[in-house]
Amino acid sequence: MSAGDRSPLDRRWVERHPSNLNHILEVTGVTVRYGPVLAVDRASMSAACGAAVALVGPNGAGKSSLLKALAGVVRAAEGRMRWRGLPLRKCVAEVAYLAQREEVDWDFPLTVRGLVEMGRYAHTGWWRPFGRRDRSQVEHALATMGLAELAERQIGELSGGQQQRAFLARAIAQEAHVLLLDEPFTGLDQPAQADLGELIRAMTREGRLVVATHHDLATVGDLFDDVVLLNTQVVARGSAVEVMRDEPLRACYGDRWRALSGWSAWRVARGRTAGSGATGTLDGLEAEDGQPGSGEGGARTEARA
Amino acid sequence: MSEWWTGLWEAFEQPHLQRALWLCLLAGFSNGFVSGIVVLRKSALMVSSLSHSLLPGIAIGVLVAGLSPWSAFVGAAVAGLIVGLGSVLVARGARLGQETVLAVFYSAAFAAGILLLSYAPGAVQIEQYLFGNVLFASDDDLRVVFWVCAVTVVTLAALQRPLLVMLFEPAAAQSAGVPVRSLQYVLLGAVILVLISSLQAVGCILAVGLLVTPGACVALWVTSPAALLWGGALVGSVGAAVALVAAHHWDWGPGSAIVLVMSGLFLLSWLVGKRHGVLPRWWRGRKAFDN
Repeated sequence: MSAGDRSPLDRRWVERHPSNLNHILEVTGVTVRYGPVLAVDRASMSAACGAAVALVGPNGAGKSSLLKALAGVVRAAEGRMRWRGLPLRKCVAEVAYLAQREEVDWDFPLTVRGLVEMGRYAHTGWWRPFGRRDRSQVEHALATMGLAELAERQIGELSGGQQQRAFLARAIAQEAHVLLLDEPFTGLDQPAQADLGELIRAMTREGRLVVATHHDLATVGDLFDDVVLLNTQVVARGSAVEVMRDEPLRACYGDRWRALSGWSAWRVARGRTAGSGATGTLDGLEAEDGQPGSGEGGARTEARA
Repeated sequence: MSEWWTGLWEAFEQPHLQRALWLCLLAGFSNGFVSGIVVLRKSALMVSSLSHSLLPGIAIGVLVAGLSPWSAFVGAAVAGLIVGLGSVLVARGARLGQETVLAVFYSAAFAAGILLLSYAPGAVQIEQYLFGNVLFASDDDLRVVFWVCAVTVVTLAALQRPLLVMLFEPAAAQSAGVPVRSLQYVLLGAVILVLISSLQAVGCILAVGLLVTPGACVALWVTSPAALLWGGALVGSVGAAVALVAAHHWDWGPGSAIVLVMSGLFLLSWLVGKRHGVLPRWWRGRKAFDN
């Protein structure tokens, strides 16, 4: 293992090993089919570790399917997935997959500690008993995610945000290098979302790659660096500022995209600070003033204040 | 009291009662252990279907190879595998739920079993296989049950980690490289084996009581999967043994006694269980209200 052999949240380590930043996930022409249904059509993307990448698109666009193909949960009919030049499926110990919250059995008789310990199985295998290092990694993961005091709780007795943190703690205990998260922010209230976003940022800063599906256009830009816009095929990919603009979004969502969410609130707020790259889109919005709805108008005023 | 106790002690010096006691302990242990997994997998219905489908296998085994524990064992195992695997395959192709297909399969198998047993030699009483005959168990029966118990418990205990990951989150397990499909076949095999081991004790109709209820009891108390499995084994074996003593004392059918003791323990756990018990919840609610 590379990143995780050092203490997580240790930025100095990443800085001392810049080559670590060149760990690249490369996806080429991945196609996912469910029987006759084509869910993902020749999707290609690449992401370097240290980044938080969002898979964004309308319902049924194949976001989760692409993520599940990356995780090996569904089989890709075609295409190549490589991590650091190796087939991704050869690196399972480095990859952690977090299912959507509704796919998890929250009544399972499992404590937070038990859940986090499962992350160590990637290192201990099926039989080797836990050693000192395994135990300290579990403690460390619990502490990092602020769960030390909740460690003996059954997982169903946590709040939504705590539940997501428990699963992230499992990934930390696993010393996972690539985190694949399926809709991690869904169902969380605003403060919990912000907390989780901050924790994901911290994990990317220490050199992990986070790839997550996300459906809320209003928050994509705050939470992620890069965006892959998906509608069965990849419509656009690049930094959030580049991708979250009118043309790609219209190409992805069709003409309904503007009604779908308050994404432009973020765009305008970002436009004030992000320099020339986004100014053009800001102008575009002002030309169409009044369109986006009152909530966004309020956000825009705030951005100007 | 001491008189009753010595009477009981003397009674259980008889070999057939001793064999019955050992059989209850072993079958209760293996069934209780696997019941934890059945509860985690929420597959109680499948277990009940499988248990009914063992009957034709026993009938064919007895018809072909004569009446012996091994012929009944092999027949039951083959029948269970055919129905279990067959329902998986048919359900996959036919776009029906596996439970639906399993229900079709097991009722067919059960009907065939009853029909076939009427052709079996006169010594075989259908009731023995339907409701158990623990008091007539032979040394060979005990040997079969012992090996079944040893093999399943050792195998499943050794596979605890991958099993736990798979039962909790099949998708994440697959992602982590756990051989999910192979493990599911191992589980199917284990369920069939322990069902067979409980045939003598409770018979195939009541087998589901021994293979679901102990785990259901313990699930109301614990928050760790290991505690669920071993606790289920403990409840299963002790409960079955206590039930046998009670059955002997009041002259009940041992199979019914075993299942009723388990159900009683479940009722108790449901009332006072630490995790989800009704009374503790009510009490907590009241205290919260007082504050």
